Amino acid sequence: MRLCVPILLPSVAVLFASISHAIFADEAYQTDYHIPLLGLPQAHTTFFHRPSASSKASLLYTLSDRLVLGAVNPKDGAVIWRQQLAIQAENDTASSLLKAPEGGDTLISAVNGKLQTWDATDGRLAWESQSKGRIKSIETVASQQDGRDVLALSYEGTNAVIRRLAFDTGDLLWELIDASGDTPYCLVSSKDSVFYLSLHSALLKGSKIKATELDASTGKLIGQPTVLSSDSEVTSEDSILHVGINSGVPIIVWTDKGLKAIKINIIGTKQIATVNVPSGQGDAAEEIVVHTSRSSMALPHILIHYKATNSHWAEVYHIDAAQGAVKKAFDLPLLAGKGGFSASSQGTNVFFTRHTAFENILLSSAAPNVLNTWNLRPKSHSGMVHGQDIIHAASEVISRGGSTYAVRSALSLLSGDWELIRNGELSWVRPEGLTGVTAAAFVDIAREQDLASKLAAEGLRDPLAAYLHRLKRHVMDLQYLPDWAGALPNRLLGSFIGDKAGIHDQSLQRDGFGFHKLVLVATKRGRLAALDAGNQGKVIWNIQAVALEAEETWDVLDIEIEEGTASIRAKGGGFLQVIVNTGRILQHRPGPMMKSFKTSVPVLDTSGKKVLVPVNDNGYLGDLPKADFAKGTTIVTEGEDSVVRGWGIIKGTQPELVWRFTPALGERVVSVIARPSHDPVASIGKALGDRNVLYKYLNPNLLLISAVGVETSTATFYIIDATSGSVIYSVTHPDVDEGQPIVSTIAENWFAYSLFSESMASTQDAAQVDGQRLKGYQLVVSEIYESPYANDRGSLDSLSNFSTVCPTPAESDGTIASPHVISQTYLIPGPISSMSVTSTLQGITTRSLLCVLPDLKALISISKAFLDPRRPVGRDPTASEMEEGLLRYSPILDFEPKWILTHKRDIVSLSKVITSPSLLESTSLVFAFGNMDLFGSRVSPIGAFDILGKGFSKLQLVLTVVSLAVGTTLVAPLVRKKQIDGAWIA
Amino acid sequence: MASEPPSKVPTPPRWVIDLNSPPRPKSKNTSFTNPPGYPEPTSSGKRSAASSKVPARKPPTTVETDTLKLKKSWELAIAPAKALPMNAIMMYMSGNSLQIFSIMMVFMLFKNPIQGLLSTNEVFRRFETEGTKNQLWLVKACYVLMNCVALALGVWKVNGMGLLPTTRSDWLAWETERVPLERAVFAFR
Repeated sequence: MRLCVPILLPSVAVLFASISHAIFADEAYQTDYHIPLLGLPQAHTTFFHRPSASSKASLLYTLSDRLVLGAVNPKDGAVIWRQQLAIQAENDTASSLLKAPEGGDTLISAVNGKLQTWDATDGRLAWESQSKGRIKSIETVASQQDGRDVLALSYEGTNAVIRRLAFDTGDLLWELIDASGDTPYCLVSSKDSVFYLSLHSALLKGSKIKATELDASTGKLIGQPTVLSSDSEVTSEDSILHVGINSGVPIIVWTDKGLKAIKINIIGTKQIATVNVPSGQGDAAEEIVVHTSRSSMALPHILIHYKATNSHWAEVYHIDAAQGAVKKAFDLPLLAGKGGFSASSQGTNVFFTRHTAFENILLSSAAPNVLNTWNLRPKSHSGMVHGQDIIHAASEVISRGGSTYAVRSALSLLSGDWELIRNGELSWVRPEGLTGVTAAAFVDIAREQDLASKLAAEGLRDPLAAYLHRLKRHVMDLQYLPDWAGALPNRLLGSFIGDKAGIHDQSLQRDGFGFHKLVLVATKRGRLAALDAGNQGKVIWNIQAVALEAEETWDVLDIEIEEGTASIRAKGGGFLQVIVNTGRILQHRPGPMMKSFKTSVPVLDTSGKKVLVPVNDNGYLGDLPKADFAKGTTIVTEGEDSVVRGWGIIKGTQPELVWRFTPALGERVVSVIARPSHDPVASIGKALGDRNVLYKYLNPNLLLISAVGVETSTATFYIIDATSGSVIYSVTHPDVDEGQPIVSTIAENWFAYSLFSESMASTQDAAQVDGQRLKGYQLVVSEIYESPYANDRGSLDSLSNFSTVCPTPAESDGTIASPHVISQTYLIPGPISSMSVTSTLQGITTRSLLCVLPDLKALISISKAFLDPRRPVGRDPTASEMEEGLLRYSPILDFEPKWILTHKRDIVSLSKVITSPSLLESTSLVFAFGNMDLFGSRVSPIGAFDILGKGFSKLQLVLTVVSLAVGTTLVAPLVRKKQIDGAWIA
Repeated sequence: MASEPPSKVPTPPRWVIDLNSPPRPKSKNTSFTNPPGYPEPTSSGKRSAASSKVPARKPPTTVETDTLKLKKSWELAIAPAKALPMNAIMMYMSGNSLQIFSIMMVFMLFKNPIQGLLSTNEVFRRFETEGTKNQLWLVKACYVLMNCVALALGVWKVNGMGLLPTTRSDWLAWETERVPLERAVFAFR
């Protein structure tokens, strides 16, 4: 019997692809999930706002710390639109501002020097303007036409520049340059005047606040500036707590460095009211926040919120514009824990909402009595360890007449979750803390511990005892029988009429197909979360795994899974062990304080035990622990100096440098990758159409090193044997744009890479593209075979093992040809920023190349059957080649819409894709992550051949069988009678 | 019941009457003579009487029957070869794909010759006499040869369908991957 699977499968794939170029709408979004994230909302850029004057409902807008501007539907938490305003570089402290003019239908955002206006309903860009310096403040003033022009204050060099831009086009109306050397701070516009606030640096230390009135129509300064503070009061911009306008009264609030007193001033007057900071039952305030309504119509009532380490309290002040007086209205008592306040208004009335971990309290600004109190759930939804502390809140209060009020509040929690509380009920939670994922891993859901131990116990006993034990266990299992039987009708009914996608198993149980797994994700901010891959990526748990300083990041290198526990190794040697199902931390060991220490790798010793070997940043190994390592173990490290080293563990505690790979002069190593850890090979050769075999070159120690020559504009790819360090194959591409992504992947006996080049590699046959130059993004796929000839197993022939360190005499002579590499190059429509390969349980299924397309914001799966480098060039395939599923080579590879796993969605900032086999051979689980979004799906590279599709109707099958049975029983007597009659008549 | 007169015995059902009084067999000795040329159907007993009237054919001699039997057996021995061209055309037409028809035809192609081979002696037993015994082995050998040719056609067909493990790829599943003696541990990522 011949092995026809490798031949049949590609042809199946080709057939599948040629039938249709798209998938049906009801097939999409069934198994895939997308978690669109915005980033952590910032206090000053998060608010409820009506997208247009005519709309009744308001949306929740935020400009996050990731510089993503988005509108969220407060009803269900769905992102209506979002725009990435800037790609955030590492350690970049960008300033971001967001303003929504009242009654208008635009949003104005400013990130660094770029000012943009957006349609608030659909998020379309109206216009943008770029200034040379950072924009410090934006303000709007009424325009002559029906609209509000934009005033922007930017700090360009040493000058402060104020510009007025037309509301509809962004045209510059006037420009005012303040060359006085003051640091610009803010613009604030009241009904008929505009004030420009700046910080004038004082002689000794600190600075003074200077307020100058402007003529909004001409851009000229009016009168003399008013100096508001004494020399030493204001030390920096942080001392100014609030600048805003309510009921036409522009207010500025500032404090001193020691948070002793608060000064309040109505801008334009000289009167300054001083308020002493009250101490809250012995706690000193550590931070002061001022809350007022965003609405300019609302009464000028301000709430001053004092935060201490473990408590918070507040005071409400009323400002009398006519007399310029500031009057304390009432106190809000001290409560334990970190709480939040938010202000909102309806008409002129101002409401303050106090948020604590356990309740929401609604107050009117006019009087101290509590309007309503809602108790929140005692424990949070996801059972987080901590994270009830509220960082900031935004709320919207609607009076329903009388004393009933509807309140919804968007709370930003310490855990990074952003949740909406509607009248004390939790509406939705968005896991905004999960941005910046650095590592992820698929995890099997742990079996119940006792079951696992019981099974282990059975394995150890003698057969009879094990049998009795098992019998006992099954008898014990009978107690679940009534429940199971009770659920049976529903299950049967569901399997007949219900759609499978609709039923989601909520419990954490493994399923029969291996689709129900968890995905562990670790973020830069030190958070660790588990998502349910079988249930649309629902967050199971989300913990702060490590405590980080402000500027620190958690760079996870590796997540290793053992039955039920995950071991996470971070850069710097930090080690963390958590229980997979619950997120409980078992063990946490921060890394040693050595700067050079990078990580440690687990190496198996002869007894099969894992021994950790320390690796330094420079690519050298630390001292080896005492263990008996297997002979011929080589540890490969990548140093920061573009050198790849192979270390042999021979004897003693000192590892020995066995080989060293240095790329050609002027080149630097971009990436070093090895075959995936789970990379089974079902067949060691490729059966050709004429039923001969091309033997694959299979070596688990293969390394693919990509190196880039910056000056020479070349990219070189080396295939290296990691134990001996010998170069098996290398190819150089000239005219490469090294600014474009150069990514590669290796699996089984093939490797692929993508780059931008103006020509082809010199080793490749130029005739294959009819003399055309392949300028553009290229995808190169190469396969490595033992020999170019069929039925030839190379020099080692049928030897059952091989060694590259001690080669056979024939090999060391150099008379033996090296493995044979076949390549083909395709032109692809856009860059690929990340590449990986699907993995299935036994490796029988043809692999698929998973590519992240940053231009399309999509993830695509290209079946390897299309990328076979043996596709015939310049001629039609012969019959035997057709049988192999080889199509005629065409140099241009268009991405078919059917291949796009993400369908219509925009997936922002994906950087890596991980895969895991399911229990079905046809299907591989896929999870993609990056700086922003998370995406997961299932991929069947050549179709789901081992599972019944949606088109299969059990009901129809059963009905057919039943109707046949009924028909037979009905017709049988008739036939029998006819036969007897016939016998008589004859 | 007892009061009813015995004269009122019900008439028996019709089938009883039919059974008791079967229709009279047509009498052979009717006055009608058979039309000319119509042979009178007679029972076997009468046949011998009739044949005895005809002068008896001279029984064939043993030599004659032996020649006849040999002739007949040769016909039988050549029969599989006669079917060969038809089979070959059918096999050629059915193509090399694995379908239910071609599979059935190939099955028949194998079944008939094998059955024939197994029953070689039975097939020729009725021709076996003292006189033909010495010549029949040649006929049998021919018969076996012809069946083998038919089998060869089947093998050719199966080979054409790719069902014979004659190529390297057929044994690929039994070849194993080479195991490297050294292992590398990768400490990057």
